[in-house]
Amino acid sequence: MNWRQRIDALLHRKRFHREMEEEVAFHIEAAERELLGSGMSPEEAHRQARVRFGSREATHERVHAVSALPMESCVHDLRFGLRMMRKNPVFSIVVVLSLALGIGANVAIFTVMKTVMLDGLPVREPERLVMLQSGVKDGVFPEKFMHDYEGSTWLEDKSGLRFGESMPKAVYEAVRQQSSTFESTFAFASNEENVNVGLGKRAESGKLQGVSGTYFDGVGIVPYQGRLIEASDDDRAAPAVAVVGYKFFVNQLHGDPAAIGSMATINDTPAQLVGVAPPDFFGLDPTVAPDFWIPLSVYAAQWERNEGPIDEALDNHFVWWLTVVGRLKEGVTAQQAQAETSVLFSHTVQAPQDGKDASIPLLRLADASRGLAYLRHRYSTSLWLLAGIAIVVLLIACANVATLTLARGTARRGELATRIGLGATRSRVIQQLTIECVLLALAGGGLGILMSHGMTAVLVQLLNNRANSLGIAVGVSPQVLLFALAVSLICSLLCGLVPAFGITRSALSATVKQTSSAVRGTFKAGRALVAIQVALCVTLVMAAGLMLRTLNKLQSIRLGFRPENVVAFTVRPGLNGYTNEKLLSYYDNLLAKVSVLAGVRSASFAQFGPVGEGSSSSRLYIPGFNTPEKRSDYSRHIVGNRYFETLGIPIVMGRALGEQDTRTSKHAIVVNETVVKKYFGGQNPVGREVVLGSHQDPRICEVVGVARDVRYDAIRDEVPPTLYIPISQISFPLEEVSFLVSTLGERAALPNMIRAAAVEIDPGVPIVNFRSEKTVIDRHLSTDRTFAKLSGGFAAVGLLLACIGLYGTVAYGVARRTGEIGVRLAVGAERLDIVRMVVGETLVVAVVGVAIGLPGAWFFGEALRSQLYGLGPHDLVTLVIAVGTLLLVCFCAGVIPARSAAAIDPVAALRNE
Amino acid sequence: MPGTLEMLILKMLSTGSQHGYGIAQRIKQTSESVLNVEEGSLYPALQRLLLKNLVKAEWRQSETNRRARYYSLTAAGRKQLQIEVSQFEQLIAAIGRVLETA
Repeated sequence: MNWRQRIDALLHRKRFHREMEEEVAFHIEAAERELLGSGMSPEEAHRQARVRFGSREATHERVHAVSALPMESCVHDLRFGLRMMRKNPVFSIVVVLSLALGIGANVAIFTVMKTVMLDGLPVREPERLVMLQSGVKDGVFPEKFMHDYEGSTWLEDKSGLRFGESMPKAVYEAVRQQSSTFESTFAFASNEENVNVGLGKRAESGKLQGVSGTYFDGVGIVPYQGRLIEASDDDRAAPAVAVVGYKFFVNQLHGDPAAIGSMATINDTPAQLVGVAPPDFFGLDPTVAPDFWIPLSVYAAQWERNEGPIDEALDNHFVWWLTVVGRLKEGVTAQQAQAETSVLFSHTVQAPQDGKDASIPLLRLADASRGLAYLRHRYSTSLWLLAGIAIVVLLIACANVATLTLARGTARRGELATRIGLGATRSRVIQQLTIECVLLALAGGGLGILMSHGMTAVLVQLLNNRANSLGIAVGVSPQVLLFALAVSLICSLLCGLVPAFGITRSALSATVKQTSSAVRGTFKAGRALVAIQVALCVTLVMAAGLMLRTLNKLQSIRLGFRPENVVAFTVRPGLNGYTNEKLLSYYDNLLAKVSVLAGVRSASFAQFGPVGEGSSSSRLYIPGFNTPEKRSDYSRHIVGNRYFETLGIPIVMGRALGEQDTRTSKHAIVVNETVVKKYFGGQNPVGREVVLGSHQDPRICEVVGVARDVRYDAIRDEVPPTLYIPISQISFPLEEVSFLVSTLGERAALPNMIRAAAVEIDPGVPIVNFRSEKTVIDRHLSTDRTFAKLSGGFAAVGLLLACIGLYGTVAYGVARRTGEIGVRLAVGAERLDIVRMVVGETLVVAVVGVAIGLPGAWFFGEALRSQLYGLGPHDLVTLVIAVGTLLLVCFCAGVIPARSAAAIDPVAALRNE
Repeated sequence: MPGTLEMLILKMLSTGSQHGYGIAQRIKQTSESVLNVEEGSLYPALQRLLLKNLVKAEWRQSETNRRARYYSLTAAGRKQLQIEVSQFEQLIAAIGRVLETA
């Protein structure tokens, strides 16, 4: 290969072409002169010389092909492709946008899914971490083996076994001491706790996790500052220590190195802060991100103080409260470890005298390299649903691009035929078409990556709306970029190469004879593509319809109370050791101080704040309406004075709870309208007596009023029968309450004023979780809203894409059949018949598509069931609207080309043929 | 046969430099019009030879006082011609033997 000359030719393209021209001109001239010499007339010689030479362009092209660098033709095609893109802006924009939307959505979802489901924990060799899980059959609580189970809810797996992650401490000790397959074994308390931390003169709130002394060593991380908890800290006699989370260290301790080594009061226990965890470490559960880690000994001591002496229980095998994780030794498989650990487990949980018991829980080891399983479980449904929608959109986009390419390719058949006729080889033309498609796909992919940034942010926000925020960072990684690139290229191959072969085949035959039969194949492919698009669209539009109707129903819900200008905050004096009377007086003192602050209209407190913060339920005996044996369920709210006034809940009968309801006065309750409807048969209950509490300890209360129904805890659910009980009359202490403050307009200074008031009473009790009720409600519905908007938006995009595809194919089909239609018109067909025929054919494609799509829509609806509100997954109205919309769209896409078909001039059409 | 045209071109140039038209004409004349070189093949073949460094080209005045591109053999081209001619003769001889015996 003579690269220098080739490069030279590339660099001097113009000269090369000029010289070629000159050489050819000389050749023809010489031939002409010779012909003249042989006695031909000048005109004839001039003509003959040119005829003999043949196509100058073809010669030129072939000579150029010899010398061209392989790259050069690509560069040429690239330029040509860009020119074609500019020449057909509508086509280019539609293709790039459809690909961008499809790719963007997929990249966004893939990014989040990868982070939540695939990424390993930021610890040393996370793939070697396994977690002990116990499985029971049929969800029966095996009372024989466990008296108390603490931790996350059990998950059912495919085999019908229910698996839990908590273990008794005895199992941890047995595995730690005897395992030969684990390099190290560590444990942490399955429940994370809220903690009040006293830092000298102020107090903060945070999340607390109790961990074994082997925890940090087993996880394999190095401290950001100071030291981490070590094996020696497990000793009950050792001084109490705590490790601080990086976020807490930076935000609450201002990153002050002097804080390390200082003392803090962790729920009443003085402990030394010995170190800070590394920034990216959040423990094994990304949803929790503890602010403090304390040794299990300290954790157990606190537990004991709150719940009574269970010193022994924490060590025995009946209380299951620890998550146990092992690090596999090098070269040991999970199966080997499972065999050994199972033996240790069953020996420990089963007393030797019991003998073999078939009902003993099973043990299995689960992969812990990506953290705890239930995080993935919790988010996977929404993510898979969104991924499903995104993939459908991408498929539609691809089908659409393929349809457009086919249709446009046919329009360019003449151009391509000419090029082949002028000497371009078929592979050369395919290369050019493919490069054009790759160009479009890459443009789409690039734009898609840009768009995915926004979409990723939306998705993370979508997942973050609950009380716990996701402790994970989501960024575009090289894998995601590769993913986008792969998707783009697959698209370009699907959309470009396949039609390119079809087009060049038809272009070749077109050079031989101009018949329409050669392109019948591509036309059929086009119709199949459109049917597929319609089918995908049915699914998408159905899903979007369901979500939009859900959104509509959610937005028109009447709450029944007034969340505007209500702020809430929580106090947990129980954590600081307050009990009974002291608790009540703390609440009363704080309420008195808050009520007189400037701008406060009314203030109160309750066991739970509104919306998504929980509720309690119990049973009610209503003499005359039910029996003590068949009590009615109700939801119970313990509230302070002026509760109804503060939230603007109207009292429709009787009176509200107030200062007259004291510890010594007759027990008073307020019920809601649902209680009246359901339990009192609609009769006025004011003045009637009802019985709360148990058989042994009945508690007779008088109904003093009826409050309007409110959607308090779960906005999406029916309003439950609700009882309001004054806090002054309850028999058990309430260790934490949420204060509700109704203000006159916006009060930005209020949080600080309230904090100052709280410090005056007790600086050790922090004010936690300041929130405006409006935000709480917005957040509560944001998942539904975002999901509905996303799926609705996707469906609209998909529908638009399918319309374009459908229109393109029909228009192309009509153009192809110009001759046929001309014949029909010439032999006397009515123009209306032509319209009817074309529209009819379009509708046939549409109906076929809908028929294919209905099972998909049914399946998707089923998958969406849990996301819906106020309607079923196979809602007939939505179905009719979805199918109707699609048929209408298809009809419109057919009518326009049909009308132009009917306007064909038969004579012109036939001449064309 | 592929490569034959290149060989013929090399042969024509072995007696001196020549332009494209001249090469075509001489092949035609020498073969007494049996071999008619198509222009569509001639120039790509010349381009290939140039790239392989078997011929070189320069612009000169033609006998009719027009600027024309003259091709001439390089040393490598001369060598290549010998190789190809001997290979071709072997091939022809072989074909001849096959035809005679069959």
